[in-house]
Amino acid sequence: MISEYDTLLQFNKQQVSNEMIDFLASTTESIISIQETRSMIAIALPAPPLTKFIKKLVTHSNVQTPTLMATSVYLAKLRSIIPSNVYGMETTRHRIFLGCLILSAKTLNDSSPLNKHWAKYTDGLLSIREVNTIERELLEYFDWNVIVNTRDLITCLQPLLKVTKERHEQARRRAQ
Amino acid sequence: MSSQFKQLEKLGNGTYATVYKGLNKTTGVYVALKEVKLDSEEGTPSTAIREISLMKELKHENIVRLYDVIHTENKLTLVFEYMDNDLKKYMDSLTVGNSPQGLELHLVKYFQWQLLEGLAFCHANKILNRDLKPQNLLINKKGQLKLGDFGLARAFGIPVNTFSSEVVTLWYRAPDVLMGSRTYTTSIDIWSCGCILAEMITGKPLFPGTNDEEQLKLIFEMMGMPTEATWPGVSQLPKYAASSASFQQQHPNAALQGPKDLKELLQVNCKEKLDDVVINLLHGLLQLNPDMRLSAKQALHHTWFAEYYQRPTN
Repeated sequence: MISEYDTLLQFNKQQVSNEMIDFLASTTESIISIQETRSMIAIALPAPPLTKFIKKLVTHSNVQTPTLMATSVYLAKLRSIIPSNVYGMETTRHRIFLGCLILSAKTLNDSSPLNKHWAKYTDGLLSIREVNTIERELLEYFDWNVIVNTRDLITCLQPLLKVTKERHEQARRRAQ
Repeated sequence: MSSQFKQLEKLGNGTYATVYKGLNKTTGVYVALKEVKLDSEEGTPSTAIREISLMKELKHENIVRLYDVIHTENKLTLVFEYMDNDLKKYMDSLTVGNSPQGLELHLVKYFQWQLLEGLAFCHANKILNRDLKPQNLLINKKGQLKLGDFGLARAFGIPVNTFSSEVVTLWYRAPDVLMGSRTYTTSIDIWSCGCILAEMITGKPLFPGTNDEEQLKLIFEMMGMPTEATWPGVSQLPKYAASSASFQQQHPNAALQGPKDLKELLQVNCKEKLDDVVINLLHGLLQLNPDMRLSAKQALHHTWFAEYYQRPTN
């Protein structure tokens, strides 16, 4: 049997997949409900679907699996902080996801894109100033507690790690 | 913010910030205010995010305490425990004319012990400091020493990628990192501790190189050129071939020369008589092969520190 830690190592070596992006989108959606607004802006410039938004960020930033998927740890943390009776606006989930991705990139890597780059990667959805505000607010919510550890990763990525593990076992059985 | 702390004189410029002395008006206690100007293009610097998140976890007698963080749109202020001085400035103040002076050996020992205590705590909490040097070791009039700058620090042991080899101030950077290793771990900080120990003894930096190449040359001249026999795997490091070739060009007989006698070299610049025990500890910290270096915890159990760990606890 392959250990959880080794499964995580194997998972991290995989290319970013649609499966991963769907997982992140649905995790983000589970954090906060959206209240439909009928504002002129929302009608004129509708926000892209979350999966499409995440995909664009991944392509533009070339973020790798470990950094991208560590975002789920921040998302889970946020879910436990945000009360369930709070509603967001149309772009709230986009903002939350981007903020968590930025924190993940800045915490885990020795070099990472600047916020002005991240703003550019949103294709006009968010301004640099908005990106800076999101980052500041998230740090405040988390009370700067943004260290990611292996246990958190294993817990938050459990559904995907299970698949990796099963594939590994299958490959091993075939090889025997 | 402005109401709670009175900003006093400037204490210095850090890697990404300016530090002021401050007075907490409510408690009358001095603090150090580390101010980071926020650049709107960058957002919150990753160095600040890491320093704050890591230091919040690190509560230890030999690590400067982070009391509070004040984050506004344009400025980030870290409120730290106030310390009187840093080890670099203190050593500079002892210079007589143009000649640097080492510290008294009993003080060297007390400082080194505290440095290792603080570092062992970081390592036990899975944190690498990656920038140990005299400027970053803060001291006070009671003789306490505390690790004071975590701008380059990183958590380790989590399976994520990208470690940079552009870490640690040149003079205190380990040979494996100089040769481009990105798989370093706690041993990166231990090498710096060895350099600092030697510097406290003599008052002079041990390996004052001006660039990566010269830095390695100074290290190899003193410790010998590593080979596959003395350091299995060394030839796989990105810059090994180049540094080995240029070293052999400059020192055709290098293979015949072993490492130099560290005791003899340090004794020239030390007034007190050095014993073999401290030299043995130095060798344990300054092993070229990172796997051979002592851990902070092992170093604390070295005989040189016997007077501390054998001290009755009550």
